[in-house]
Amino acid sequence: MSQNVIEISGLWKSFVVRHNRTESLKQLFIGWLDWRRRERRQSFWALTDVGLQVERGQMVGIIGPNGSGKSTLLRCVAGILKPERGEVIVRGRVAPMIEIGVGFHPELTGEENLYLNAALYGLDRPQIEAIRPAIIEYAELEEFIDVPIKNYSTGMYTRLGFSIAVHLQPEVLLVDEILAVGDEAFQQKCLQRMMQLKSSGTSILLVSHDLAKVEKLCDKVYLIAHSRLEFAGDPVKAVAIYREKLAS
Amino acid sequence: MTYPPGSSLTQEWRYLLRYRELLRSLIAKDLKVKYRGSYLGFFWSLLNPLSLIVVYSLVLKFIMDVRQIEPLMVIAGIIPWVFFANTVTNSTESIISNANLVKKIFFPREILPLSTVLFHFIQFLLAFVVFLPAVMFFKGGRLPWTLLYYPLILLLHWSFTAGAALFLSAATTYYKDIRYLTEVAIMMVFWGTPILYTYPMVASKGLTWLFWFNPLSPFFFSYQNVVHFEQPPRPEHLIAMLLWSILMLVLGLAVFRKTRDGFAEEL
Ligand SMILES: Nc1ncnc2c1ncn2[C@@H]1O[C@H](COP(=O)(O)OP(=O)(O)OP(=O)(O)O)[C@@H](O)[C@H]1O
Ligand SMILES: [Mg+2]
Repeated sequence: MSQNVIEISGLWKSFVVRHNRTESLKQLFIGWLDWRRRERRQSFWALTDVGLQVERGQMVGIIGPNGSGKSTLLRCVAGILKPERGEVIVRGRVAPMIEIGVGFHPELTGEENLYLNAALYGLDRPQIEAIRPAIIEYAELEEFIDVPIKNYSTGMYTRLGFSIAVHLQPEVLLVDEILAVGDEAFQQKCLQRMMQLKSSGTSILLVSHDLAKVEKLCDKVYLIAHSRLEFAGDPVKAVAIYREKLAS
Repeated sequence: MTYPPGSSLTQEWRYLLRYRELLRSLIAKDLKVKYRGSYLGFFWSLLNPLSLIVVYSLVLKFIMDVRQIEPLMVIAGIIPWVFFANTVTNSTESIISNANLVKKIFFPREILPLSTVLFHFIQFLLAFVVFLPAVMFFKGGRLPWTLLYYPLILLLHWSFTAGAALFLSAATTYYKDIRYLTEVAIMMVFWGTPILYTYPMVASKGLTWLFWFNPLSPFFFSYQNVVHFEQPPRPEHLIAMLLWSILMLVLGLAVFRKTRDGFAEEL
């Protein structure tokens, strides 16, 4: 049985861009007096009629130029943004990794941040306690786990954040370009771990500009350009089309 | 299961419950960050109300020499006022100061203002460690039986405050000025609320009608009644508290629900 873990159809998402954005009452009054400084709202479509399917245990890539709507699509899947039209069905728990260590507080220790961060993803205390040792071991932070993370190096910080995210055992992992951070060894470790998760049944939706990796790792690739889906399917073909577009 | 969950109220409530560990962690974070590195640590939560009580007692007793105003009468109102004022002022920042979280992770947004309310509520409960001895001190070593009404007033006051916090945290996301407006308004509301004066004083001037315009006044009249005057709350104040607390909570929740889907875009 191959039921889709993520199923999106006819997804439309618009943003309002505000020129001379009114953020205060003073600006609101000025706007009444002077029309040139009045807020102008312009809405544009960041995603138009996008569909997407991800099966259980699949790694699916999303590629496309800057500003084409990749992160927006990911945030719609995560439930952070509400699309204007269309349906997003996700079967299971989602762990968005849009940034590493979201919500880390510098004054708190690694351990305290671990609990806070995992709770942000909706885990309860027993669940967190169960994965705590694995997180610390994988992040190689046994010595430093009770130190405030303001004293961590960037690498330690990243390792902790990543380690939490990959131990949440979500059905769906959303990854937005976080492979770009960290040194070669860290990237290797990330990839290794993601493949491991994938083989244990986690579906991964991966946004990346690293075309070589996308081509090699993904089962399926979506190419998005100018808010539209240009191609969906074979990774090699998708990357080839994208390269061609870039060249022209 | 679809994700995020559907929008029926029971579904939402269940969803909110799943995140109680987050609520706990956020409050714990605020408490830890507040006291970490200070020598007296959480004793500050006691010293704060203690200093308020001592200062008001001394000034009212020995310096101002106003016969009409007794220390306990003011102390009865000042402690819940600090809870209300701090919660409301801080709640304006609940969402905007957590922009990073809201934009990057999905979780029930209500958790953020709720954690602000509960954080200050814990401070308020800690204040009882000094408040109750102070009441006994002024009452010659006993506690008035009317304090039995206190939890009820507190519950209604809590719900009023939570409603205000939900409303303000959502509104500030769209209009940043509301934060400064609230700071100024709170200062003025302090004088418009019966804290430094009482129901008999207001009644003797024939001004009780004026206080129906301030939703907070029935709460503070009642606090003074049960702590200082040793009387139950007046029936009309009980009804007013009930209505205002429900109204405020419903308004806060409604505005929050209506606007929360836009938070991530707006920030
Ligand atoms: N909150 C927002 N308000 C207004 N416009 C937004 C908002 N978020 C994104 N946009 C706009 O939506 C478009 C798509 O943005 P998105 O972040 O999805 O691009 P992307 O494909 O991830 O690009 P990149 O490769 O640079 O990360 C951009 O034009 C961006 O300016
Ligand atoms: Mg992006």
